[in-house]
Amino acid sequence: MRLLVLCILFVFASAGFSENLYVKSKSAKLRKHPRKKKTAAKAKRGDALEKVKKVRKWIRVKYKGKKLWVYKGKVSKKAPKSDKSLLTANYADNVATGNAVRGLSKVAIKFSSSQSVSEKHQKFMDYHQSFITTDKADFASQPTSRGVNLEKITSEMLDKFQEDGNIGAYADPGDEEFEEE
Amino acid sequence: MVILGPMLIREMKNLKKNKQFITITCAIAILFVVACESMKKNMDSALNSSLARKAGVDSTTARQASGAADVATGLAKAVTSAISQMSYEDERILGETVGVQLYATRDFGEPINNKELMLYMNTLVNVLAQNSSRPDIPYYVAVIDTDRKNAYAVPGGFIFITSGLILTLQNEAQLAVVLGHEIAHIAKRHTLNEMKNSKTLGGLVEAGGGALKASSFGSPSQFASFSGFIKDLSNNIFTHSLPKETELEADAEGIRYAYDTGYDPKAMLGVFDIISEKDSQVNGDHVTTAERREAFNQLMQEEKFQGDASGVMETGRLQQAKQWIQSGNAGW
Repeated sequence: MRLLVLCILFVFASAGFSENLYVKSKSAKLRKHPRKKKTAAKAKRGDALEKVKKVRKWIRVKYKGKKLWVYKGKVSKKAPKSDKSLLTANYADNVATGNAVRGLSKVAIKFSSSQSVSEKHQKFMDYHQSFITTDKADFASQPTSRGVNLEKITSEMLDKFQEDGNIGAYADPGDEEFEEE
Repeated sequence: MVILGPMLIREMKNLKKNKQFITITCAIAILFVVACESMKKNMDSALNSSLARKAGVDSTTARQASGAADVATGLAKAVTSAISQMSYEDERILGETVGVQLYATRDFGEPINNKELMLYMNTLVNVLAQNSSRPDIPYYVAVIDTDRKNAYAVPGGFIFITSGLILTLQNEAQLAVVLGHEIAHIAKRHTLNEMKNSKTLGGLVEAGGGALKASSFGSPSQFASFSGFIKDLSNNIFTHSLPKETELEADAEGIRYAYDTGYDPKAMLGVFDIISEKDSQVNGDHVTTAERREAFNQLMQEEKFQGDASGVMETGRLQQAKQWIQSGNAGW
């Protein structure tokens, strides 16, 4: 019993020193100041950030020796779980070459043939997956065999969408004073 | 810290001397080994369920009933395991085949052929998904030309949302929570897990030796099971609700994704007003709007939302999307 109490005291004493947060989004762009849109550092999903303080929707953190700001929607107290479904797949290569969505898979085509699914309905599914999120410069946007053009959505376009809508990290951070290193 | 350190070390030394410590450690280790063995037996039972069924022929009725229940439970566990171990590529191929079947289903509707609308919807859904619990896979969305007010999530990242629903939404934050809800169904593999007791999925897992691999779906031994499962799953997605707990989890997750992106979580209240219970599928253990509102109020008590449950409601872009929809489908 004495040991249990001591352990609890030990945990609380340790917790008082610092609190770690983890990047739970795909990535997090850190800024020197919430009002300055330029990225000072980019942290990967799962990276630990040491919390210094929180001001409204922005959190002051220490990352790689620097004190920077991160939008609170990008982090969580718990480290995110890795996506096991991506560990065995050659997913990155497929997306880079457009193979992941270069028309329907052989299995889907065989199914369509066996169920007499028309060419038009197969084309609908080509179209459904024709907007591909990738930053690969060599992404080849040739049409599928059913004549559907492939379009690219880059990280830059995802950021611009948020900036144009004044959403999240691009919203007015408020009147509070934010420190800058 | 200076005081606690030496005290802790002294206590640990005392414990090491204590025989009880060794006894308890051994007991925990034995329990762990027994639990692992039990899990292994269940898995073996599932994978050999055909043999198990044959072996049960000579048993008593009671034993047969008990054995059948064990086999069913074992198979469900094997299916759950196969789903959790399925690769993204395999899930995507399964999902796109379900998509083909949905488009071929009578009265489902056609996707609206409009590049600007597709760019807007696919950008929004992937912005939201960056903050989901499964942010590293791509998500694809198309707008289905129909008056129905509904949205559907298909494994592998495919979302279908009807023009009837988009036209009744009032702002981009409402669209964000609706899409967030569908992303959550995919991220949490809700639709696949809901099918874990289906005969066709069980058959597919059995034929695949306990795995769900697209490389084998087209093989002679698996294709019949695969085709049966695709038809069952697409029918389930189009005509059935998911269980209440699953829908409430998707609401909560979807609201979190939208809020973390910068949208106002209160937009969900507007969605509850717009989508009546009869707009959703009526088959299954249907969640009521009152239950969804109650769960929403509880969610807002989370530390995450305390003191700052605000965000963007409108950007003006939804109105533009409505105009693209109303300008008509370019056709195929």
